[in-house]
Amino acid sequence: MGEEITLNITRYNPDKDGKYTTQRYSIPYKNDWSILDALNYVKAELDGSLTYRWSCRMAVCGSCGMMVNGTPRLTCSTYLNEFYPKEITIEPLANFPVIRDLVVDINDFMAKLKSAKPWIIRKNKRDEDDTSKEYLQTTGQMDKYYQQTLCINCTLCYAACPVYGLHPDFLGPAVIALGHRYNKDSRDEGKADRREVLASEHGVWKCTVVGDCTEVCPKHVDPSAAIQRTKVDSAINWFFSFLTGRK
Amino acid sequence: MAHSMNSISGKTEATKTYRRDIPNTWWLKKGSYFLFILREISSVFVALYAIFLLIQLCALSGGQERYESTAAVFKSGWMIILHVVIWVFVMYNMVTWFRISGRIFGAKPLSPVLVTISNYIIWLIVSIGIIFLLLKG
Amino acid sequence: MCLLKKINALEPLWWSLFGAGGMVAAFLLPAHIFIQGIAIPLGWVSPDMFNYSSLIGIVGNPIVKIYLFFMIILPLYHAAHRIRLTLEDLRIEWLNHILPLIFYGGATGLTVVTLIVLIRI
Repeated sequence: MGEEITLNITRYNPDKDGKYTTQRYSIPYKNDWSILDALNYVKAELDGSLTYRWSCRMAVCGSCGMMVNGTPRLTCSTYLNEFYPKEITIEPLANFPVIRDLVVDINDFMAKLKSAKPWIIRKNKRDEDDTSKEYLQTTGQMDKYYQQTLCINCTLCYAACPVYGLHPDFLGPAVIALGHRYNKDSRDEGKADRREVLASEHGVWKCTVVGDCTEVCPKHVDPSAAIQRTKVDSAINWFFSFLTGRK
Repeated sequence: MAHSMNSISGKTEATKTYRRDIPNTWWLKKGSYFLFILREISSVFVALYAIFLLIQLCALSGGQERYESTAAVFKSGWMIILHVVIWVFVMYNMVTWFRISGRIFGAKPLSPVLVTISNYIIWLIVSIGIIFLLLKG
Repeated sequence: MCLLKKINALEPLWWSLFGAGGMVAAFLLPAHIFIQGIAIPLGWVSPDMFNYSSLIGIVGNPIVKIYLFFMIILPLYHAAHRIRLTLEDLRIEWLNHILPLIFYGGATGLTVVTLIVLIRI
């Protein structure tokens, strides 16, 4: 027998007993295994009913996010050797309803994402259909939003955000960061369209800058800074429209 | 969102999701959450100092006798201890403030570290100026 | 309820005052607290300024009045905004919806008091 490591995995099956419990599994310890490799081992060798999401295994698809020892992580790029010989607790992402075992319901996030209109909006709608038209951009203009384009919608930031957990209506880090990304794009003209969502009472003003969204982001999107910059922009716009009486 | 689409039958089926409750002690569960609450609490001490200033101004406007009795209270031991506590919280607030403003305004071509460092330099100059005016003014 | 809605709609104003107060608290307060609240009472320094007749003259200066006005009211709005949001995060249901009224109202009340006191000196 080689070395072993213990995993404490959350189990929940509404179709069976509907109990939300933790199950312990002892598996062989391999130095180069990710948490996802370990879960695949459990499913293949020990318990075929274990349910979780994964796809790309290379931190691009954003589907394998789980709470690893209480912190939201992508399990494909979190390795057993970070924890060995200690036990590892694997839970579904915090702040989301659990569908089964390690799978959470992110419909709320998807609906909010759409509401922030994360796409290029042109005032002249014909621009959007005209595929022959080119929009040139300098590298300096691209720098203003590039960091936020790296978001993979993994929702780790939502699991890290206590404000989202406490106030489920809050738009949340990734959605605001992506709204900010298009607001800062020189080709975009949709800032006013996004404002009523981003600067609403459930938008940027709900954020109290805990900052954990930025800490857990596997792509270094820095949603926290994006939210604060959107606050600055919204406040300037508010004073401007207050002084000029324009909406 | 208690309903999910069954992709095979195309029918919408009720799925019972499990919702986890957040305890009111959530901010004790993680170091970063605790530091966050500590930062927020620092504002209580910021307000307390502003109110102390207002009290001293009120006393000043009330004449010499009232000013001197109030000034004596502010020289008492427990008031000095309270001011040390206020000062520690205000310094903590400053550190967090400069770190966050570095993040907000530290976008290219500036870097967050550069913005934070320049905040500290300005702070140092302003503080020396204030101390000079209070002592020599 | 109508008043509460109006207060909530002013969120950009409260946030801006919070930000300005944070700047004052970070840049100006540490030196003031250290000298006026700790160093002078402990007798480390004894500047001539801190007696009744000198202070009355200095505070009478309009520039000093404006400085003191912002040094008092901006930190109050800073704290009002922060405490309100923190209490919301602590979920005191019955209190939560009137928090903006209590804190922004309180800060505005003390602003009026500060203004009156400074004008009368």
